[in-house]
Parts: sequence; structure tokens; C-alpha cells
Amino acid sequence: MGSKQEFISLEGLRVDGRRPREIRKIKFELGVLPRADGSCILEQGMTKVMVAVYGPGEVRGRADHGSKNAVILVNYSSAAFSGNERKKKLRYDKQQAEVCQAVKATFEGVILTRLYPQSQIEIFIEVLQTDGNAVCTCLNGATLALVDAGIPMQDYLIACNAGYIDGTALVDTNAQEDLAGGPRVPVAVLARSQKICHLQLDHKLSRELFDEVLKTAMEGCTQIFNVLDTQIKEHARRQLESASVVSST
Amino acid sequence: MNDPKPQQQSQQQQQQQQTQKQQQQSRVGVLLFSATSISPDESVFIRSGVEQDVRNDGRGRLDHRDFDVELAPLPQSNGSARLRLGRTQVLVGVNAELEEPDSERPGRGKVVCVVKSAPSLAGKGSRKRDVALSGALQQIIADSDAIDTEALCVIPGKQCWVIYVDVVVVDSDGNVLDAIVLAAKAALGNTLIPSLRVIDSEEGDGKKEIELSEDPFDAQPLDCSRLPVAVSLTKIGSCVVVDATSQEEQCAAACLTFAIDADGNVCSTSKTGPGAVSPSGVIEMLKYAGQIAQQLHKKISAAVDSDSSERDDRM
Repeated sequence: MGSKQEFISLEGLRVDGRRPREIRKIKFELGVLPRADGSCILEQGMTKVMVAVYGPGEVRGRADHGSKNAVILVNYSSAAFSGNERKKKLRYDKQQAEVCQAVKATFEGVILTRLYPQSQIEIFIEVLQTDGNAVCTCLNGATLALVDAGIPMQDYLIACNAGYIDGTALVDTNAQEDLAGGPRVPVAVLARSQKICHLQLDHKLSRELFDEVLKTAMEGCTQIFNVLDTQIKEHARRQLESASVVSST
Repeated sequence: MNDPKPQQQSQQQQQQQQTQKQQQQSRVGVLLFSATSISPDESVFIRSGVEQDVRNDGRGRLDHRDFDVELAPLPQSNGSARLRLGRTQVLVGVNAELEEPDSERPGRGKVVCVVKSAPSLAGKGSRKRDVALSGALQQIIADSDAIDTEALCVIPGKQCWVIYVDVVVVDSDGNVLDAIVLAAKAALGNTLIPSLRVIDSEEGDGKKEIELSEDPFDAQPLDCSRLPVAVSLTKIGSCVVVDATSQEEQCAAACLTFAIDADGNVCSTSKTGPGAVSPSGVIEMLKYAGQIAQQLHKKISAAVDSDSSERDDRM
């Protein structure tokens, strides 16, 4: 290969100009699909996902009838224009399996499913553009869509990842940094109690480094939570104002 | 309102036709996304409303819904657009890839259109729907030669640009095909193709190589002046409405779609549905379609032009 790509410049900046502990810019829009019970489009940097939630509603599958808790169903798809190269065939996607598994398993514990026996909650995720860390963005998008749908959850579920490149722990990696290899730890926590609901690691990592990378990822979750919480409360206030429940002073 | 008698008579006739149409309803256009089907009474209500020029949402028969277009929501694609027409929402991403041209057309590039429903709209019949919409979009945009495919040729017989137009139907409330064509026109209007040079190969064996420009802003827009817009006219009872909602589509006997370019020429037509339309009916529909196409062209071109001038300012 040619010259080694520098991931941390001399001034301590990453390839996209961020500091190692800085998350990407977050932008989201709630209620983008008026027919869904809850929906959102979430952008973290250049990664953009759209999540729709339908439920709680009648259970469709016969196998799930008579369950004491609500059944969570997850559907995932990524648009042909989402990746760097246009995807030609809809072959079995490793990322598809990963995201569906992560979202279903995590939200089964976070949503208060005991309140809705014999019902199902369906989460549809469509990845519109990916620039690294799609799994975490999908989890955050699902949280936002569930909040928009008014489905009760224990707490916000916030996901963020951290990597370790060139001797530094980096939070919220983008696609270029993902290609550099090295360990990647996506983690999802309950925002207030800081309990970990989802954690993954596909690389060798020493125990001390693991502590540092995990701590970096969890700090990233806190940063993301602060952004989302403020904006969601602002969104709620605006909705209540327009419904004249709260005065605009 | 008016004299009730003539209305009652026509209602009886309608109810007779009703039962026939109920049976055929599932065949009225594979292009339907019916999340909830409507009851016969709702169908009669919609039909009478249309006759009196008052549709369920208050529009007249020839009133098109207002649409909202967002350009370049996906900066990683060569071009993109997100369009909202009432509650119908579509997202289009345009990507240009270098590939081998077709052996029958070595001096031309290609335009490939693929439509997919978002997972929340997927269900029974969604694959058929997607295939039908892909075919319709391909016919209107690609087969009509609206985009100069000769200009897309890079090295004849070896390399050409293939423009992939990928559409995701996010939500549907009727008239999805028109929304898709409008969104595709907007997305192609803000598409930039990277500049490249064809140089002789360094090995001196007569082969040619492609050199892509190093400057990420060195890119050319596509010539979209000949791209048409689609206007679908739906026949409900004996009347014709423009821009039908999904409820209205379920009462429809037939639907004619006209693709009309900026000069008012008809580029392509298609008819779906089992109902028949008289020749004079078609001429009349074409007249309405022409007027509406003009308005749509004006609005879309204004949005695309203002975005490209903003983009030029930024660069």
C-alpha cells in the first residue's frame, strides 16, 4: 500500500477535523411519517437513518399469540444509494443481521413490554446513507421513533462507539476510521442509570485499553444523550404550545 | 343541495356498477398501495363528491396537491431529492458508476431506474408494485431518451457512465408514480458527474485509461432539460380527477398517465385499470394534463435552479 494514512494529525485533529473525544454533529426530525405511530430521521455526521414504529397493535404471527409481553419485531433495510458504491444485489447482509439482533434484544429489555400483553410493536429501520457506525445510529433512531410514538420505556437508550487507532481512543468513528481496522466497541446504555444494554467487541484488546475505550464510548453516549434530550424537550414544548396546552411566554 | 331526484337515479346506476367494480378493484392498477381498503359507502361518498367537484380534502377535480421538495438530502450520492406530495413521500438517490456499456450499444451510457418500497410499506404485493413502478419510471425517464446517453460514453465499447436512479417510497397516499417522476427530475437536476480525462495508456499499447479529476468539486451537471414530468388522471365514475389520494384510487375505474416535457410534448403515455375511456375523453384528459404539467415544470425547475445557484455561490 502507499503512504500510511494519518488518523490523528500533529494538532490532534482527526480526518474530519474532530477532536478524539468529540462526537459527530447530530440532527433529527420527528414525525416524518404521519401514518406511522412514531417516526424519525436521524443524522449523525453523514450517517442518516429513518426509523418508523407501528404499535402497540394486534399480533400478526400465530406463534406470538397469547404472549404475556408485547412482541418486538424489527425490519431492516438499507437503500441502494446508502453505501459508497451503489449496492447492486440485495444479498444477505451481515449488517442486517447485526442491526436486527441488536435492536430487538436491546429494546425487549428497555420497552415496558409487560404493559401490552398479546400485542406487537414493529420497528422499521431504513439506512439512507452510511458513513460508519450505522448500528449505533440505528439504535438511537429507534429510541427517537419510540419516543415519538409515545411507547413507554425504562429510559432513553443511547448508543455510541469508540475505536482505538494510533494510540488514541476515538469516539464515534466514521467510515474512514472504520476501515483503518483496530478494535471497535459499540455500546448502548440507559442514559440516566448508565446501565449497559448492548456491548460488542470484535478484536483483541488488552484489559487496560478496553477500560479506556469503553469509558470513551460511554462518555460519547452521555454527550449524545445531552443533545437528544434538549432537542426532544424543545420539540415537545413546541407541540404543547401549538396545542395551546402551554403558553408561549 | 340540488334537486335530489337526478342524483338518486344516478346513484342507483352507480350502485349496480359498484358491485362489478368491487370485484375488479384489486386489479385497478398494480400501482396501488392500499393500507386500508374503503367500504362501499365510502366509495359512493367519494364518487358523489367528485361529481360535484368537491373531493374529500376539499380540492376541485383538477386541483393538484402542493408539493415540497428538498434537494441533496444525501450528500454522499451524486444527486438526491426528497419529495412530499400530501402524505406521499419519496426519496431518490442518483449515483453514477463507471461500467462496461451494453454490447449492442457500445457508444452509449445507461440510465437504470429501480424503485423500492420502504420496509414499513412492504407487504403482500409490494414486489409486484415495485417492479411495476420501476418499469414505469424506466419508460418515462430512460427509454424516452430524455437524457443524452451518447454524452455518457467514456471509452466506446469499454467504459461508460451508468446513472443509477434509486427510489425509496417512504410513505404513500396516492399518485406515487407522479411523485416519483418529479423527485427523480429534481434529483437528476442536482446530480454532478465527476470530470474525467481519457488518456493514452502509459504502456503505449494503444489502450486508453481514465483519469478522474483530483478536485472533488470538479464535476458537471447532467442536461435534464428534456426530462418530462408525469401527470396521472384517474377516472372515477364518469369524471376525471388529477392527483388522486389512495382512497380515490380505490374507487377508480382507470388511470391514464401522461409524461409531458417542458415544451408541452407528450413523451409517453400509459393506462392502467380495466375501465375504458372514450377517445374524446382521452383528448380532454390530455388538455388538463398539459396545463398541470406546465405548473409542475415551473415549480420543479425553480427549486432546482435556486439550489444550483446556491451551490455555485458556496463553491
